[in-house]
Amino acid sequence: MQPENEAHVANLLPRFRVIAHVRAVALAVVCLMAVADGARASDGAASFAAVAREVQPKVVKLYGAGGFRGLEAYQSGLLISADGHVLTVWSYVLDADEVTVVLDDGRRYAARHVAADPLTEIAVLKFDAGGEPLPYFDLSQAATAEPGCRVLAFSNLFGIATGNEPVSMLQGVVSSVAPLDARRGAFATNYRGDVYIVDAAANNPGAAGGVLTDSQGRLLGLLGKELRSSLTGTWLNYALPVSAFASSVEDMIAGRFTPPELSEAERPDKPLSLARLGIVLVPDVVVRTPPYLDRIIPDSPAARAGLRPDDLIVMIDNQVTPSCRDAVRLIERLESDAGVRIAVLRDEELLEFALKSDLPESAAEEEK
Amino acid sequence: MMASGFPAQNVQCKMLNKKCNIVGLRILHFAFFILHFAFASQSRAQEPASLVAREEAALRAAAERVADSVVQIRTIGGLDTIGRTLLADGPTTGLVISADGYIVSSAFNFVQQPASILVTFASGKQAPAELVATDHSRMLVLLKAAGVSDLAVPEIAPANEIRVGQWAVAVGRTFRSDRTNVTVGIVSALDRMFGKALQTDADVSMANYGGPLVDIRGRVLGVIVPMAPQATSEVAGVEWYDSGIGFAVPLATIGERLEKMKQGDDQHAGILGIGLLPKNPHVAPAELAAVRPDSPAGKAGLRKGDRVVEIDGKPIRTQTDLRFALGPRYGGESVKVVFERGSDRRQREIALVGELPAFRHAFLGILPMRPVSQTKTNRSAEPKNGNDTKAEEEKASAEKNDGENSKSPNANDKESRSGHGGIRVRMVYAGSPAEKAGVQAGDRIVRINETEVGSIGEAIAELNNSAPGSEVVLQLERAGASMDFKLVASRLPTNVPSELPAAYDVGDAKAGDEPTAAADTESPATTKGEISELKLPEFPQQCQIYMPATHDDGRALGLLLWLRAPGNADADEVIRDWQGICDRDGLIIVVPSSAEADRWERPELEYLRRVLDRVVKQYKIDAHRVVTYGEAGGGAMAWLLAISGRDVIRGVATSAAPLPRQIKVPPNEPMQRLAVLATLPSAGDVAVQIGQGLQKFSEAGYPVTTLANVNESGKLTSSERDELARWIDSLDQF
Repeated sequence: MQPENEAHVANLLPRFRVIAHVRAVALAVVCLMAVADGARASDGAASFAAVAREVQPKVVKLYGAGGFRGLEAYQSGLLISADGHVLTVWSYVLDADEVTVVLDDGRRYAARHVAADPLTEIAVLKFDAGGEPLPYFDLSQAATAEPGCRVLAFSNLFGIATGNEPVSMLQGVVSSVAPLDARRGAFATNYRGDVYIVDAAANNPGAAGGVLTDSQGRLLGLLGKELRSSLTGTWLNYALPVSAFASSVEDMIAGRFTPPELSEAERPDKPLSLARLGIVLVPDVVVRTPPYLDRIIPDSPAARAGLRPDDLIVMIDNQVTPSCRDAVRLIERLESDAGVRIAVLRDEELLEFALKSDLPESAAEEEK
Repeated sequence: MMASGFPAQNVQCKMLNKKCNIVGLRILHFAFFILHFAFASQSRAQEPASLVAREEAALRAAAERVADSVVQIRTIGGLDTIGRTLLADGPTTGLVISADGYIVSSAFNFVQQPASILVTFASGKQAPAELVATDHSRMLVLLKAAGVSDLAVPEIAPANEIRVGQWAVAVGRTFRSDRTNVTVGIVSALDRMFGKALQTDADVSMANYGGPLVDIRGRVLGVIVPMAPQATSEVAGVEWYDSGIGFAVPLATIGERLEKMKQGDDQHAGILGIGLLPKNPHVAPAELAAVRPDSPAGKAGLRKGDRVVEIDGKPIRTQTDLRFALGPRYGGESVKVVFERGSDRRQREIALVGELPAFRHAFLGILPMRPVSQTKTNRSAEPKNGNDTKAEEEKASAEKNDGENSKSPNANDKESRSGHGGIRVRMVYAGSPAEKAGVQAGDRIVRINETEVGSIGEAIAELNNSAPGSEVVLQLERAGASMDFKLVASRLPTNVPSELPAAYDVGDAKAGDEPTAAADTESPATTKGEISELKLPEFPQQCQIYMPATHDDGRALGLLLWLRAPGNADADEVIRDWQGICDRDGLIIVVPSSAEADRWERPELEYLRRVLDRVVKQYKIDAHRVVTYGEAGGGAMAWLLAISGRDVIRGVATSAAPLPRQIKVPPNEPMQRLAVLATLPSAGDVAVQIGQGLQKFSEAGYPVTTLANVNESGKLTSSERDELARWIDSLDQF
């Protein structure tokens, strides 16, 4: 608490600001050394306390648009430069004429929009702290973590912290490092790369833009918006790893960032179809009709490969096919002249077949 | 084992820390940042020795040690929703328990009844698997993967070494097939869910249901499953995912069962077949309120009124003790039951069963007169008595008892008893046991078997101790004389009497008189009922209520909750149609509106239940005649409401509304009589679907009445309405 009070005094007395700041930090160093001594005696709590003091000043509270119909008008952000660059998650909160940044010591600034990346849904803001250097996370010094590693999440979840209150700290472990397969309502996320999935309740309203660090306070990633996993149907607690956005952010700060064009998922020019392979599935009657083969067109690629009626397609190119719909979707992602591996269950046996369409286009059309 | 795991982890951590120290030192040389980075390097310098790092290494080693036995499961085909739970179609987790491919998982992972199951092992090998058997008590399934061998089998933590507060690591293989996902917590409690599971605060969810919860040494504490204390379905407890409340079933306790499951035998919780009084279960002794005659307890000679005092040598002092003693037991297991009857102490060795045959209520063929209480009740919004809090508590405790069929209609205890003792016979059913034995209308029943009965509820409860086909002794009074009759009970009727005499014992002063016709005693023309609106503050919907003219003369009223086909007839029309019947039969009709004009939505069930509770609480309601009726879309809601509300609802009637396909019909409960009526179109798909639903009810032991309906929309004709009214009016038959 001591350093924060000192900093507050420094604000009131601008002339002595620099000296006061140096004093404040010097005091803080002394405090930390004492804490570090305690931690050396294997005291986990003391070491987390030290990390909190180090990280919390770099995490800011953001206030902007929203505040009605369950849309909170606040979120979190992190300082990424000594002169007031703030990294956060792109959301409706930023969709305001002015976004207010409130620092850990209660100082408030109006921030302007610098740039945003629609792919990773991050945004950079900038405020002017009056030349005073700010504590910040250096993205080039970020760490990585493996499943099972202890992590800490810092954010203003539920807007609990206000004014000069530091943001909340949660602890947990990395549960998994896995591709993001999630949706918000009916929409799938654009970013599909790896994320840290954690077992702390890290992603609640207001948490987006907060940080995930390792147990030593080193930056691991950026807490994202609330999302539901497409795999489990549960709300995800996750963070975007720094490597997913570090170079974009660097470009944004340097003013040379061009937002990538978001295209529809790449569609083949001439998509493959089951008909082209000579496969007719059973009628698709319910949401998850199992993809059984109803008929095989004689002399088709499927027939020659040895597929038979009543085989159950379980995988297409190693992707599991829970339903007829999934089988059709996976096949249509392929070019018509691409080879495809289809795994089927036949009498308790898992069999795999390699197929390649050779039907002339017109014949395939007729089948349709 | 751990000794070999630890050094490697330590080396890795040391190297990591060395790297960061170097980074820290280098930054120290940049003078202009020196102050801020001094923070960082200071806090990092202490890490090599920190407890945090060593804990982390140990937790990761624990998860690593079981990882080879944790498999990913994919399913093909099946349902996409169960009730209100939308099922994700992503991968789930299982735990290998034998080198040749037996895998345990959570029953929740298979509720969708998949067409096919595919397992991916830690090695990347994939194999099809079959669901061999389900443990309905612990909510586990046993799978067998085909064509695999030499699988890694995990070590099981001995049950007596598990302590509250120790580390617990939950391991799944959901997000990726090549790596496990882990969450960390502690063991929060042992012997939860009546001794079936341990509790943890590690995050559990669809991401690890079916996976192991392991201790710090990687030994399996249990298999993670969703569970909830008050419910038994596979999806129960899922709403608690990632909440800090998770359950895992210790494998040590079910080893013997696993052998049976390998033979394909499903396992069920062991049932004794008894009901307990709805009293505070932590205080009340385990006195039997009912014993199912066809149950293990019934066959072993246990009777209503017996007190269970010991199970397998463990003293039983309360209902809760009994629940805990029986909770972990399976059907097929034997228990030594010591019970007291009066001052007598007896002992029986009783084999529990997994499933009881469908219970069917005994029927004598008697329609009783309804009592008129001496004091008039106020029709205003005041609670009908000062004991509401107590009633709520009783209800809560009754709900806790659901494992053994112990629920009782909560209003029975408060039912008015006739001033003269016994129950007067309103009508004797043609061809019924009572008619064959010579019982007549106007007789006063004072005793059934050895139990004195003063109310309809007591009579119905007593008959629960007799199965259809068994002998029942009736003692009754006729013209001042006492007579005994022996009857052979039959089943509840499924046809509706074509005519009913008056229901009220108005001629009580001149006992012995023939009951007079309804029209003579009630005159709708002289008194008028009233229509009012009911709006619960928390809900947007509202209800129209028609209160019959007779509502303030001290009689308990029937309650008909009418769920319209959305977008159809307005509430006023329904009330116009029913006004006369309500006045004649003493029936309140409540007509709620759906939130959306064109449909009912499942979440509105909660609203309907609240409406029901509110009306039951506010007015003097006849507990035997609480009915819900639904037409078309409203019918689906009526089915759901009745199934979830059997503690109050005694009859469910629908028109043009098949039972939703995925809905399971719960077993018929002795203390929760529910009659079923449906209109059946003459032909077509809907008729077939309705028939299938009714079949389920019939097989589960409920009395099912069908009316041939001529109107495709489901709207009742006036004669059908009359028939429905008579069905409601005769629900207190026994």
